[in-house]
Amino acid sequence: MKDNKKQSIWAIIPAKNEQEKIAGVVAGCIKQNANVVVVDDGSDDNTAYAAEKAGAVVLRHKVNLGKGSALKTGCVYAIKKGAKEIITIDADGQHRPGDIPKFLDGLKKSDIVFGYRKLNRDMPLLLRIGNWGIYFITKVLFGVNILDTQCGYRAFKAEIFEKIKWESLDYSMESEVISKVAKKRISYTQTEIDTIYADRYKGTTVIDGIKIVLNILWWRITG
Amino acid sequence: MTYTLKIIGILFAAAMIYLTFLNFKRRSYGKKSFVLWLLVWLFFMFMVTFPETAYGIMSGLGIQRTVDFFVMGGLLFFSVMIFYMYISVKRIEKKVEGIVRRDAIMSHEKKASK
Repeated sequence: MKDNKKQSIWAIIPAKNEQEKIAGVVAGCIKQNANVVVVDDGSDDNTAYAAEKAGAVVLRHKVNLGKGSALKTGCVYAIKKGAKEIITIDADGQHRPGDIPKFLDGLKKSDIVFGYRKLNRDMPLLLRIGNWGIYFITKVLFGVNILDTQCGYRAFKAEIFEKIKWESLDYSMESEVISKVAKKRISYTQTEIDTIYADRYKGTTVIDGIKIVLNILWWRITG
Repeated sequence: MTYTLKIIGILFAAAMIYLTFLNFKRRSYGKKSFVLWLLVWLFFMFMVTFPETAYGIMSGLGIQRTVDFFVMGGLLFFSVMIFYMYISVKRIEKKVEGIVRRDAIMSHEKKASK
């Protein structure tokens, strides 16, 4: 039974230059009985080596394409290998692998589970404002109450991948998936996760935020 | 149009014709693109040398100054060019993504099978 479960749960970790943190994230996911695939998105450090040593399957993008593209590569591979449940988790240690069971519980009730971080003082102020802004715009345009639209910690059933498959190469994919969930009325639940910010200079920038908002408007218009 | 501006315009068009020809010889693009760009620069050179030929079109459009006509025409032309380049870049982006993904998965499977 354990082997069947291990066969079906896959954690996808898109990574770029995370040689310090990746091993810990991989080990944490393996401890939760998940298969782990790390997509090294054009790193110029030892991310791939560290991930492989920790026990992950490593797919290497020869050039950096972006988070959206890396996640898609991981999902395509995992589904090919028989994944039934897919968990997407960041490589920088922001997400605790110990929360994986919460996501798996959520998948018993819905097709996709969105993680949400509390908008508290642990989150940088600019990020808090940006996240709230995007949450508000998404709620108005799509009618969905996703508390943290930019949280990369999510889980979904492999069978809905084709429905939510995104075109965005970068961070915009987080919002693109939400727009598809809303338009195709895919069932979703949300689960609270801890807010951990090790590096305040990585992740989405103001420019990314503007791009995300413009993309959200575009997806609303194009239906 | 003042003679200084005409001379500058003609010299600019001549320089662009030369660059167009040079890049054609370097196989940066094919015959079709070369002829298209050559026609663009020759048209530019013609309009700068004989701006009075545009007076008919200008009066039809309600434009009084030749410079306004050139600026508007230039804006329209470059808008189209930018849109075309955007589409081309998007297509290339998709192709690169596909290649990189296929390569990543195949490299791993090859390594795993050893």
